[in-house]
Amino acid sequence: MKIKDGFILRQMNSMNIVVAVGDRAAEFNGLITLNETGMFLWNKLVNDIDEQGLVDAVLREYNGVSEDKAREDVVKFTEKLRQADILDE
Amino acid sequence: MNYKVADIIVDIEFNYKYGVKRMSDYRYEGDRPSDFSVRVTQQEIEESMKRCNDNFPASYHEWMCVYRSLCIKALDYDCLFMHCSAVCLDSQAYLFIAASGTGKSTHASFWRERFGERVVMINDDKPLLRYVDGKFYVYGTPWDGKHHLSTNTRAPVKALCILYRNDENVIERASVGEANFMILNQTVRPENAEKMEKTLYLAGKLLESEPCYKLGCNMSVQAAEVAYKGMNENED
Repeated sequence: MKIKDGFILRQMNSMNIVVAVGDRAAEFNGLITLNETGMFLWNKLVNDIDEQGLVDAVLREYNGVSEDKAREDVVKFTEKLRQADILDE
Repeated sequence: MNYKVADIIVDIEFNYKYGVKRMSDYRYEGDRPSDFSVRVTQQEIEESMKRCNDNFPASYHEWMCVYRSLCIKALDYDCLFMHCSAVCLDSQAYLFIAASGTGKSTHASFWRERFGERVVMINDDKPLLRYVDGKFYVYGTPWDGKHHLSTNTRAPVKALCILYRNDENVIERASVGEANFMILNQTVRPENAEKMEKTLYLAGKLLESEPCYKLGCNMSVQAAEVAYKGMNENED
């Protein structure tokens, strides 16, 4: 899975904000804010990656996180993106 | 025809006289060459009419299409559009921001009622902001809302203020999230990625440079008093 084309992530006034551009702007006119973990996962999802790949990336990045907890966070995050129709799968 | 808007020289050719008439105070006949030009095609006007479906004439749609194009091109000049009522009191501007229908213009009218001739209406609806040497200035434009309240001048921005309706008048600092969301929902969001990035950059600078409050307000003149005091106490 990966993030669809047409989204940009930028820091604005100490928040990580995602907006749609190009053709995507016509179908998505909302704003997404990401916390630190969300931004980490978003950046991984810019390129095609599967759930296990994301879990492994979280385990490598954050010390002391259990695999169960990492998977829970990954599933929760990707489910949100799926609901907002932001993922290509 | 050249016009000077927010100290930017813009070459605009209108298809309809409405735009020419509305721009009359902003005509520029000086020596500076135009910074950019704006042309709106019949097709764009027709698309706007279809999209809005609001019974406004083509001349009005041209007027709004011209502004949208101008606002997006002006981003290159550190110029940001903001849907707000910009009120100047004692040479300092207060920007009242809210979703349409909340009562920005009504609140601005309370400032005029309370402070009288000390108040200059920079623009009651669609002013432009410019970021100059670390400071934001708000400029009057002829896109000035239902009541045509604007002045062809500029003033330094003292504060931003998000309005919401409340039984009592109460003011506090807006959170970072509240401020970010409101600003990005009340500016133009360009489809072009580079222009969108510039919008995020300028909106971020605006909120880092100028304080943002939120005012719960009712429909009384006292709301202006509470707003003014709240934005002038505890100076940094």
